[in-house]
Amino acid sequence: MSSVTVDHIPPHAGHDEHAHHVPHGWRRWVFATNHKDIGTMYLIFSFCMLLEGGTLALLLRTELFEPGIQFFQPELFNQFTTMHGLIMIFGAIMPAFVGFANWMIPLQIGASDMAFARMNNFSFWLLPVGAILLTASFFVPGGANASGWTMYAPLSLQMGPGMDFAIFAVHILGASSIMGAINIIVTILNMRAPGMTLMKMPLFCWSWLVTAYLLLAVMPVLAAAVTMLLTDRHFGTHFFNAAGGGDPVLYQHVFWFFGHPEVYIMILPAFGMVSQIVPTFARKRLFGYASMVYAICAIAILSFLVWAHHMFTTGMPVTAQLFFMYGTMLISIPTGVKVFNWTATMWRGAMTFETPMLFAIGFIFVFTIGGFTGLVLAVAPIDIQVQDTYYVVAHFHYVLVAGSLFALFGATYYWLPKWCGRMYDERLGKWHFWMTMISFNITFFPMHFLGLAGMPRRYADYAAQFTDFHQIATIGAYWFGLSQLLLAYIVIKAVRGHGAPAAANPWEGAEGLEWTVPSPAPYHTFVTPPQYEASH
Amino acid sequence: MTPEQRRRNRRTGWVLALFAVAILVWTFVRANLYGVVG
Amino acid sequence: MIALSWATAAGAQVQDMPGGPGVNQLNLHTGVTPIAREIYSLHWMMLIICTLIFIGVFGVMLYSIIRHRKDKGHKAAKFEEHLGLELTWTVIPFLIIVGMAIPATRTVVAMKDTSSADLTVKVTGYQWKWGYEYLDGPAAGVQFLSNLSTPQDQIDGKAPIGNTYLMEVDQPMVVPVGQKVRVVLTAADVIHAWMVPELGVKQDAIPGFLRDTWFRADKPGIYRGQCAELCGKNHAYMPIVVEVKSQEDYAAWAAKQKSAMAAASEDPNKTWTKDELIAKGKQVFSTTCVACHQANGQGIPGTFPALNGSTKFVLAPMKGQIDTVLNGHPGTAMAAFRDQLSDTQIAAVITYTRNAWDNAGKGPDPVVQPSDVKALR
Repeated sequence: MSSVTVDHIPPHAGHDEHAHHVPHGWRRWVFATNHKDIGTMYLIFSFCMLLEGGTLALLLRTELFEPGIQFFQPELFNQFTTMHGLIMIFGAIMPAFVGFANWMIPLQIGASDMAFARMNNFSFWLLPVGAILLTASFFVPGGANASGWTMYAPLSLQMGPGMDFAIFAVHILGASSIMGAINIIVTILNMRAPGMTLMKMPLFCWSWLVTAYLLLAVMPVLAAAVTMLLTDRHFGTHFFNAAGGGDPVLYQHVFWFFGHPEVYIMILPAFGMVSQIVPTFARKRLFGYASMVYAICAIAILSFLVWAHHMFTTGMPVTAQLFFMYGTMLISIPTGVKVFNWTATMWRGAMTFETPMLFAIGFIFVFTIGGFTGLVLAVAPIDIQVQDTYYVVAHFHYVLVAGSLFALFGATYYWLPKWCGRMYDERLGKWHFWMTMISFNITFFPMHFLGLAGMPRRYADYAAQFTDFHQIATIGAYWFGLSQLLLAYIVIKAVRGHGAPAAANPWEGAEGLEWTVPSPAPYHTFVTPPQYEASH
Repeated sequence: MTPEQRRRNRRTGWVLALFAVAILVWTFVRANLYGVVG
Repeated sequence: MIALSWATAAGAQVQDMPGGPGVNQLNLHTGVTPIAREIYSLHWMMLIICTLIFIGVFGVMLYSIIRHRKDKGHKAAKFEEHLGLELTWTVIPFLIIVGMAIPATRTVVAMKDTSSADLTVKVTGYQWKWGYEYLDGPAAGVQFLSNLSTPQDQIDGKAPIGNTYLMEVDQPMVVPVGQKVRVVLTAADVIHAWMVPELGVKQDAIPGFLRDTWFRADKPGIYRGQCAELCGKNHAYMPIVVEVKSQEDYAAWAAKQKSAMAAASEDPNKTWTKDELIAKGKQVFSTTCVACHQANGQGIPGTFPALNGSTKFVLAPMKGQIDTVLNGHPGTAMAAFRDQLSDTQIAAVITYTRNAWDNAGKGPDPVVQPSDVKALR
């Protein structure tokens, strides 16, 4: 952490720094109210969760190397599959984006900190509690929840106490998200520097503003859904039990009303990050800023109207099937606009291809593949053939890993100099990118074929004809997992001071208030709000 | 942050929190209605 | 395709599975029903359009990456917007989407039309097998369970894996060719899903509700599918096999089924010998109980109770165990078997457990008769 503290206060920091001395030791972190410290903690936490979730994935891919059961009985395998999903979504991806929000939003809008600094602390410290509950659930009788991250009733009603652990963890992690969302909305709406109108705000802030509203709207729905699971399990209610007058499909409606906006919650900030990185390395302003804002809003609004495309096989009436098919297909339009606008930003720019740009371009390339398979899935008749198969697994890993995770990696390289004052090792960064990119495709591209051929998901065992593609996927997965250790090395190396000192703005084409403060960013920045004058 | 800003922040924060609670309540209400009818 | 064949217990070269997945199959099955073929065409249409757009967009991007680079001396242009361009690339994709949606709509409507069926079969999903019941036609009244028939040794790696591994059953669903078959689905415990790719069919089986779908197979043959909704530990072990026969063969099969059912219908008041019950019970145990309670009766500690040495139910008066098998333990994985097993089957399997492993000679009521079960229904 040494390069992030201000033990050595840079001489050009404001002299009123002496008034707020920087806390030290464990108290600095346990009682943190500084957005930079809290952001750092979110990022470290999320990386640890990435490793835990990734280990679960490697365990299940090991079992899937060959047909037959070699290492893990199916009930344990189902626990791995379920917890891999829950930990990656709620422990890795979402907290990572919140970590970036904490670090960068105040810097980008010229605010001294988040609106509610103490609630911010609470939002973070809830996360390890949730993570411990999830991890501990493996060790209670019956093991962890094995009903999939989607926890469909009535199967989830059959699970042992591990399911209750998961429900409480979801409550706690959800509360953290809701408080974080409130913090972000109020900060963005109320604390922008004078002169920064909403339509002059960096697109990353726009993406988080919209994402925060989505979080606020749907995390309570998830809380209600899992509470109803809890009461069905223990308190005699019959929400999802047909024998008692309930309906299992009700759970699916409630869950996916949360679930679909949830996936946009996980991608919109990624869009924001890519929209910062590409203009910087193309040395050209983002093409069509206003359209990009409208596209984000359109995607967010549409995301509320399409949840039942996860339920095409439940037996809904024709009109519903068509409505959700059309709605889902429509989302591809604003998404396409964004891809075209990024391309137009690159067009006739003066590009260089440092690691952040590699990840941003890689994101656009691979996320678009995932977007296309999403469009294929939107066509309900095709979905009937591939729903609950590996085609779906391929699709969502393309958009969540090659999408969200690549954007997170790119943004890490992009903003790391600001955080720690050192340039990361560019050569190693490029290695990380290429290994990640290639191993990702080796792992997940064959899954399209598996799904089209009929290989169902959440299976511990499979027909021999599927073996080759599973073996390729497992090998790719190991390579992908190991490659992320390189990222840890690169980040730790820079944070410990082994790299060229970074200027306030190390990237030639970068614009934004964050690049006007020194690198590393001082503990307190924008104590007095700057007057913002850049035009858009 | 000026006291005025703090006050505005708190007000906006409470409105948003109320919104979240309202959605939670609405979900339960809808589930009960749907469950009874369905 | 390079066969990465690590030396596995599989041994012999894997072939395409008849009616199931081909080795390293890349695309959907063409299918043997009009709907499956429509879906296959829709997918090609989507694939071609998306690939063309992909090549277009990334061709432009690749060109840009090559030419518009700082190290080639290119100077950055300054343009930031272009209303005409932006409108174009909003409207044209919209029109493309509409173009895709029109044929898709036709297929959706066709798939949902289950009216005027020639034959209706009720399918029930259980943990972990399927039950079939013929509601009309020559086989009306025929009902049976369809269990995975792959030997456990293959799953455990003690025997080479067969060509229909995990997609073979003891009793397939049989239907006549060329007729519209309406499949009415439900489940007994959790949500399952009935999927047969060659027929272009997938439908969730939801406990307490009836859902339906349909297919019309235009070629005789055997077609295979699997459960497609996570349903617990043996989700991967409850396949579907549909055998499509010519109309005459179907009628012959139906007649045979009906007479076999009549012959096997058991007099619940008959008194069976202990050995008869144990033999029959062992059979029932190995298809119905072994998944959880295991072949050695030890169960899985912490998850599924042991029956060997169980003083709570097995080495105890018969009433408790009969009640457990009939009605299950709600809130646990122990299902109610009153609708899946007959009085004779229940009496037999209970008798088997009371005399198997180390249980023989211990505990009261070592023999349970079908009439004992019937009395407690």
